[in-house]
This record gives sequence, C-alpha cells and structure tokens, in this order.
Amino acid sequence: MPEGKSLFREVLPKQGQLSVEDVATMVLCKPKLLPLKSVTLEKLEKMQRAAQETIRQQEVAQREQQQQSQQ
Amino acid sequence: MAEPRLGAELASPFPIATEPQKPRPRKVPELPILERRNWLIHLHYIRKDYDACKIAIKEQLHETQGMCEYAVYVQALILRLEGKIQESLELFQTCSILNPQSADNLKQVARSLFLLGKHKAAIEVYNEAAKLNQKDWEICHNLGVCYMYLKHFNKAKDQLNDALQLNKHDLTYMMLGKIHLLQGETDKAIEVYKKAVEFSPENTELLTTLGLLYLQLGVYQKAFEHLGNALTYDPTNYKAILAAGSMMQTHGDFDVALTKYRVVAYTMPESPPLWNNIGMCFFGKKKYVAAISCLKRANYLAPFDWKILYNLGLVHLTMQQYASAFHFLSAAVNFQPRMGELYMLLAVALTNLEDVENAKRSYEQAVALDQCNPLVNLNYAVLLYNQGDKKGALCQYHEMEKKVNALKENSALDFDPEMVDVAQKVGAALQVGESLVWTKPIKDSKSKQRAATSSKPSSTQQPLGSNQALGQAMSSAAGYGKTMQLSTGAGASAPLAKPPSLPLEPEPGSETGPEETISPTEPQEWRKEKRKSRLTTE
Amino acid sequence: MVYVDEIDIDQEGIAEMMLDENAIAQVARPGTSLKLPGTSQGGGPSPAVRPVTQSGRPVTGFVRPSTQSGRPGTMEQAIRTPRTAHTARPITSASGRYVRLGTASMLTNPEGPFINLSRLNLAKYAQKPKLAKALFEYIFHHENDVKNALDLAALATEHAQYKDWWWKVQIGKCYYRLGLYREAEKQFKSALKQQDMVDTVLYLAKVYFRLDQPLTALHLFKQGLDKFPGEVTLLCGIARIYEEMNNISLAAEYYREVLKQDNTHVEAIACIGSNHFYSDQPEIALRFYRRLLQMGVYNCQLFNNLGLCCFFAQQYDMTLTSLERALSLAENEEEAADVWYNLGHVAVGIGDLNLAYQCFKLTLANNNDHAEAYNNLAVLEIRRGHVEQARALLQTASSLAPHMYEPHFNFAALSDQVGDLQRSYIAAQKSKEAFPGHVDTQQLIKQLKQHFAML
Repeated sequence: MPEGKSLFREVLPKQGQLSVEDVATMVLCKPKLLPLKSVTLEKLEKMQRAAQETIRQQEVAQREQQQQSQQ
Repeated sequence: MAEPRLGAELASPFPIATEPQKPRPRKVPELPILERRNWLIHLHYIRKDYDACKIAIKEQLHETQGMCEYAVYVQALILRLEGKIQESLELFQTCSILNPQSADNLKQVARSLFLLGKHKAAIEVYNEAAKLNQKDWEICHNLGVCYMYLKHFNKAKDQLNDALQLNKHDLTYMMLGKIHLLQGETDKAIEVYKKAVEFSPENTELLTTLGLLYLQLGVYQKAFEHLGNALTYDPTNYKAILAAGSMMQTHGDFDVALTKYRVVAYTMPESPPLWNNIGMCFFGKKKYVAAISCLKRANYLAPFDWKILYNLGLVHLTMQQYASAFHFLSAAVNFQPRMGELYMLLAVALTNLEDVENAKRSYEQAVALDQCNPLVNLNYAVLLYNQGDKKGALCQYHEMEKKVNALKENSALDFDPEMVDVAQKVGAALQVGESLVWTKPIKDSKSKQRAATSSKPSSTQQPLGSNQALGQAMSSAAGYGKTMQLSTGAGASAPLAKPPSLPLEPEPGSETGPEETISPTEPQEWRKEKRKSRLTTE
Repeated sequence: MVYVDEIDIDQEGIAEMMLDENAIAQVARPGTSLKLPGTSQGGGPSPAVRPVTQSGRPVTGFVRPSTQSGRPGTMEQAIRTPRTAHTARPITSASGRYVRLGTASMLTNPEGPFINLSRLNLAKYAQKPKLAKALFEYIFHHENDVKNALDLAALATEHAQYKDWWWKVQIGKCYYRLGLYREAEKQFKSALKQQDMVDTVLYLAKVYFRLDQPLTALHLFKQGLDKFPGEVTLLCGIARIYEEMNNISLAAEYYREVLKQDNTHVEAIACIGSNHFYSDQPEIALRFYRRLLQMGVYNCQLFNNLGLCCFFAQQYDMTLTSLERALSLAENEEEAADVWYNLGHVAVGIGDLNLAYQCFKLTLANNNDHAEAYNNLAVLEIRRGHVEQARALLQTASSLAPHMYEPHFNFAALSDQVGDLQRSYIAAQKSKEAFPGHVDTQQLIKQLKQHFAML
C-alpha cells in the first residue's frame, strides 16, 4: 500500500446488495468430483486393454495372412 | 359444480317394475335409475374419498352405459386432480355432448384446454360458454388469464375488470396486478393491490406483494407496514420475512434480521437470497469469515446471481484480498454490466493490484454509468489525486459535490462518516474550500433520542398485529421515511416526521429485546417532540 | 507377474441382480438393505448440493469394483446402467470379468495352456497338500475353472479331515463364485472358528454383501475388529458399508479411523476429501487431494478434483493448470467429457457464459450421454431466450438420467411459465421422486394443485 501523508485510501461501501425477493430460477447441475479408482480396478482395466490390444493385433495379423494367401 | 339432478333427461333404459294383478300395497315408485347414485358420488367427492367415489362412479356408469352426466363429470374432476388433464378433457367433452345447454360443462372443457396450455382454443370455448351464461365472473376471469398468456394484455385487463365488477375475488385482483406489472405500470399495479387488500385484508400473498412493490418504489414505511401485517397472519411466510429482513438490515438491525432468517432457514435450507442476506448480516457485524462462507454457499447454489458476486467482492475488498475480489467482481460485471458501483469496486481492486491504467478505465466506466452515488466520484478523485492528477481529481470532486447536494434534498439516510472524513480531507488537499456542507437540515440529534426511536421491533416475540408492536414497527420504519415534511395536522395517517438521521454503521447490537416499553401513542408523542426540536434549531 | 487383490473384485452381473433368489423379503425395512439407500439420515449434503448417482446415493469419492450396486427396477434400466467405472456398456454375467484374467495371461503364451486340466488326476494331487494348494491357486485364478477347482478343494479338505482352515476358505470362494452364497457362508464361518484370519472375515463380508445383509456384515466386521484391533481393511469395510447405506457421517468417521492407522490409504483420503468439498469446505478438501498427489497418485480424476478444489478455494493460479493436466491424462472420452463439464462450471464461476456454453458442448462431443451437460446447456439456452431448444435439451437430460432432479424441475418450471400445466405437473412429480426435499418443487406442485382444484 502506498504510504505517505498526501495519499488517500478509497472508501468502501458499508452496505452490500441485499436480495429482497426470491425469484425461482432454473437449477444448474453441480460440479462433479470424479471418484478415484482403486488400484485393483486400474490394473484390471489395464489388463483388459492390453488383452484387447493383443487380440486386435492378432486379428490384423490373421487378416494380412489371409490376404497374402489369396493373392 | 353441477348439482345432482333428479330429473332424468334421457329415457331410463330400465323399465319400471309393473304391478302384479293381485291387490298389494303399492311399491314406492323407483327413482330414475340414471341419476340414482348421484348423491353418493357427490358425498364421496366432497369428502375427498376419491377411491370410493371412483367405485361408485364406475358402478353408475356401468348401469347407465356411460350416460350419467354427473358421474362422468365427477370422474373428470378427479382425473384433473390427479394431473391427468388430457383424459379429463375428453370426459368433459363427453359431458358437454350429453348436455349441450350447460355452461358449466363448457367452462370445464375450456379450463382443461387452458391447463394444457392451449389458450386460443380455451378462449373460443369460453366465449361459447359466455353465450349461455352472460354474468359469470369465472368466465370473465378465466378469459382474462388466457389473454394474459397470449400476451393480449388489454383484452386481458378488460376481462378481468369485468370479472371484478361481477364478483370480487382475490385471484382476479392478483392477476390484474400481475398484468400491470408485466406491462411495467407499477402505479396502477399498486392501486389494484391496494383495493385488493381493502377487500381482503388477511391475504398474506396480497400483503406481501404490495409490500414488495412499495419497497421497490422506496416507500419504506408502507412497505414495512404491509409486510408486518403479512407476518402477523403468517409468521413464517418466507417472502415477507426475506423482504422485512432486508429492510431491517438496511437499517442496521442485523441481529433481529438474523433471528428472523433463522425462523425461515429451517424450511428453506437452500435458498440463495436467504444465504446472501445472512452473509451480509455477518458482514455488517464485521464477522467476515462467516460472511464469506455464507456468501460462497449462496454463490454455489446460484452462480448467476450478480448480487451475491458483488457482495463476495465487497467482503474480499474489505479483507484486502484483492485478487479474489477482482475475480468475483469481474464475474459480477459479466452478469450486470450496467451498474456503476460494480465498476467502482473493480477499480478499487485493480488499484490495489497495482494496475492503474485499467483502474482508471474502470472508474471512467463507473462514472459514466452511475447517476447518484457520490462515492464513485470520490474514489476516482482519490485515485487521480494519488497519481498526481490534481485537475482530474478536482473535476471528480465537483461531480461528487453535485451528487451530494442532490442526495441531501431527497434522502433521509446520513452519509458514511468515513466517506465524509475522506472527502473533507481530499477537499482540503485540493484546496476546494469549505463550500460543501455535509450535514442535513435537521442536525444529528442527541444520541438518546436516537436510541429511543431506533429500538428494534422485537417482532419475533410479539406479533406485529397488536398496536404496541405495530407502533414499534412503525417507529423503526420511520427511519426510512423519505418524506421529510412534517405534518402540522396530527392525523394518524399523516406521514411520520423525519427522524434523527440514522447512521449507516450498525449500532452496537444492544437493541434486541424490548428495552423500553413503547406505548401505542409513542409515535404521536415522539412526533411532537421532533417538531419541537426542529422549531428550536431553526 | 500380476498379483491382483482378489478380495476386491466383485462385479455383479445383470442376471444375478435381476433374478436374485437370495432376497429374504420383498421390501426391506429402511436401513437394513444395500439396495435401498436410506433417506439421507447420514446428514450429508442434499442432492441440491452433491450430485447423485443412478442408485440415488450421492456420488462417492472412490470407485471400487463393487460400487455400482443398487437394484435397477426394470430390465431396461439394468441394461442401461453403466456397470463399470468407466465403460458405459454393461457386463451381462458374473463370469465376464473373471474370464479376462485367464485370457490375458493365456494370450502371452500362444502355444496353449500350461496344464491340461482334463487330464489331471485330481485325487492324486489332493493327497499332496502343498502341491495341491499351488495347483488349486493355478486352477482357480489362472484357468478360472471353478468346477475343477472345487473338486480339487473338496478332495483335499477331505484328505485333511476337515481340519485345514485354508481349504475351507478356498471352498467358500468357489461356492461364492458359483453363486451358492449360503454354502459359502457356512464354509467361511467354519474356517473362522478354526482360525481367525482377516482375509476370511473379508470374504465372509463379501458374502453378506451379496446376500444384502449389511447389518450382519457390520456386526461381523466389528467382531473382527475386536480380534484385530485397528486393522485397516476391516475399518475400511465398515466405512464402505456405511457409505453404501448413505450414512455419510458415520462413513467419514470410520474413514478417519482408517487414516489414523494408515495415512496413505487412498480410498479414505479420497472419500473424506469429497465429503469436505460438498460440505462447503473446499480448502480442506484441497489439502486431502494434495496429499494424494504427494503420495504419487497421478491420474485424470485426481487432477480434475484438484482443479475444482482450487477454484472453489480461490486458488486461481492452480485451477486451470490442474484441469489442463487432467485433460491430458484422460484415458478415454468419458473422462475427458467430465473434465470439460467441470471446466464449464469454472467458466460459469467467472461469468463467461460463452466459454461455459462451449465447454458444455465439448462435454457432449466427448460423451453424448452426459445428462448434466444437457441440463446445464438448457439453462444457458434459456438465458439466451431459446426456449424451444432448452426444452428439447431438458427432455433429453430427463430421459438419460431419471434419477437427477434438476432436469425434471427445470422442465416443470419451463412448462409452467408457458402454461402447459399438465406437463409441468408430471415433470414436477418426477422431480419430487428424485429429490423429495426440494422446496421449490414442493411449492410448484402446491401451486399446480391449486390450479387443478379450482373449478
């Protein structure tokens, strides 16, 4: 804050804004804290994903083999 | 409601038993079977015994193969009470086919259409019904309401006035008042509500609405009177408490306001305006942390409400947390861009965050938008002076003086002593001279008188209906009296005299509880006292 | 080598849920069933402050594999219920999850299974206890062949003359897998009589969970605590039960006990943190989540929560960076959608409604079924005056999430304004079902009833 005899400070209003009426308004859904996952769940999901990846790769490999054998 | 009719309008499908040849005592002739159970249906209906009623109706309809008009009618009514309006409409239409001459049936059809939101169709059917029955206030009233939804306000007003002439009802008054308000004709609305209150003085909704209107217009004593009456009849009326509480807060009665709010906080635990006002009570009592938590809760529940954001900004400024204040105030400005004071507070925050350029721009905006608050100009003057721009500061100071003079004429409330102090110092620094007089025509009175008149209504203990309590309420409300004219005539309806100017700061909260008994004639006596003091000072 | 905490795994399939033979009573007394969360006797924040999930319970701070219990009313609802933490597609049978363990490991050895089960002579191996135990674990966990495992275990326990508690527990586990809960209960109880083990207590509690007897489970846990005072898993189990029964205050108390014993317990920290956030104490919540960060938890959810807590605790410098980090760590679109949704809230908080609008739209782009985003978009559209669009959005939101009261209430208020009182009444009733304590809904219904009662 600036010091000094010649410097003044602003004056703040002492009364705020009061609500006189309650007009019913629409309601917003509230912010969502995301639940953390347990270690077990994370590992399971990771394994699931890895398995799916592997399956997909195997399928791709199979398809390529088929195409090659056709040609 | 259709009365059970004993006369059969359609031929009874069952033959009446004929006498055998032998001489026997005659049997009592049977009533026409069509309407046989009407009385039973009626009985169940008015007892709200809807299940039994439905059973009786079913039997009746089964016997008469759906021809019994009354049974169908009551069935439709019950469906409507359950919220099944479409089915109810179809049944009413059946009724009107069974009996085309009945205005009642047409009215019910129209009402069902209205409840479904089909206002045009409803109007047509009402007009048909009106042909059958000219002088029915219900038809006029409902026509008015339909026109209101269709936004044909003039037609609506005509219909409602007709309805009032035929037969006065609270609901009609309310609708008429609502229309005036929708059109922005506040004065006419007040007239309507005044008549309504005369007609029906116990209707809390009318009283509260009227009180709120007066509050909007700034006629505080009447506002408080009506709100007080509403609270007499219903001490937990949320709207009245909110409005009355906010008036008390403006007056500095934070503790009383808090007790009032507590009454209603149990029934309305998640009401943003309530938490806003509670937070500001704490602010007035300088309990800033409590204020902030109340205000933040209000903000969480109502993120679009600019007043809550304004208050959050103000409290944070008072606590010198300028970054937070800036955040809240800039959010508030987004929701309410036309308010000068907001820009002023924003500028204060910016000044303290060392952003002078933007602070100045904010002040410019504030000064451009604001019409009557001298604080805006004062703070701008302070900034300019601190920055070394004496000319600018002087200019703003003169603007402030103009506003102060304008306020002195019209307002009873005194100025914030801190503002007066700073203004005088700035004036001295700018060498403006002692031209500005801060005090009002009636000087600050002795504190004793102030204490006598500002005893707060202990309305939580006493209903405001009793004369004594109303006297207390009125003496407190007198602090809002904008009219400063003293009435030489001592009629009870004469406006109260201008009270000693009340500070905006909260008084040390010792006014709760009845400290002195105030007699019903106190306002009168005190008025005379005031008159005397005025005469002596001048 | 993956070692999964098998006690935790507990996915209930739809078939099990819908055709439950173990239910004792049709309608449980309040407070005695996990399927019907009690009214918020726990003194937690109301649905106006804290979002609720499908089952009517407030959103929890921690997802365990068994969190989404709660009986859906109809088959339709059951299918629509997201069964896992993050995928929206339901699993249909109990064996679904378990299979994957086996499949995953088998895939790494494309030559085929390590042991050919059909050729095994189980009786022979049952005679050799140590070998049998290892074999059992392989069959049960790796091959996921419960029948054979059960056979082996039965033979082995006979061989041990019913004196080996370990075999009883394994048999119990097999019965549990097969859905024979009462038999499993017997086995576990018998094992407990022979030897007090925390694991056995936990398994038995799982059985009681499935039998929907939370009070019995609580009793069991408390007995366990007598024998193993301060055991974290038991305390945690009690806290979980209280949370499932919607008794937030007691749950919080027990989570605190957990923390006294083990102050790195992620579940306890997360749950207490979320309770504080929704009780107007975001600064305290922030402390808890910061602790998790210090412990090394590093995922999308944590940064999302940190960002929200920072914003509401007025630490504006950290808010956006945390939320950005959360976005970058999002592993799938649903998580990203949730982060965008919270960003929308931050935008509303600073008053920038255009930004909020865009954030909610992005939420929908990432997850087309995000009911909260639909609702909030509708509110923004109403502020812009687009009533028809708002109505459509609200209808979508209500149909996606009938357990949330906000879209119903908003739709009711909107219809009331327009004059369509029947739709308003129907929607208001739905809102009341979802959140009976909502005062505005009650007042709206009262008003509408007055309209209807007027002749």
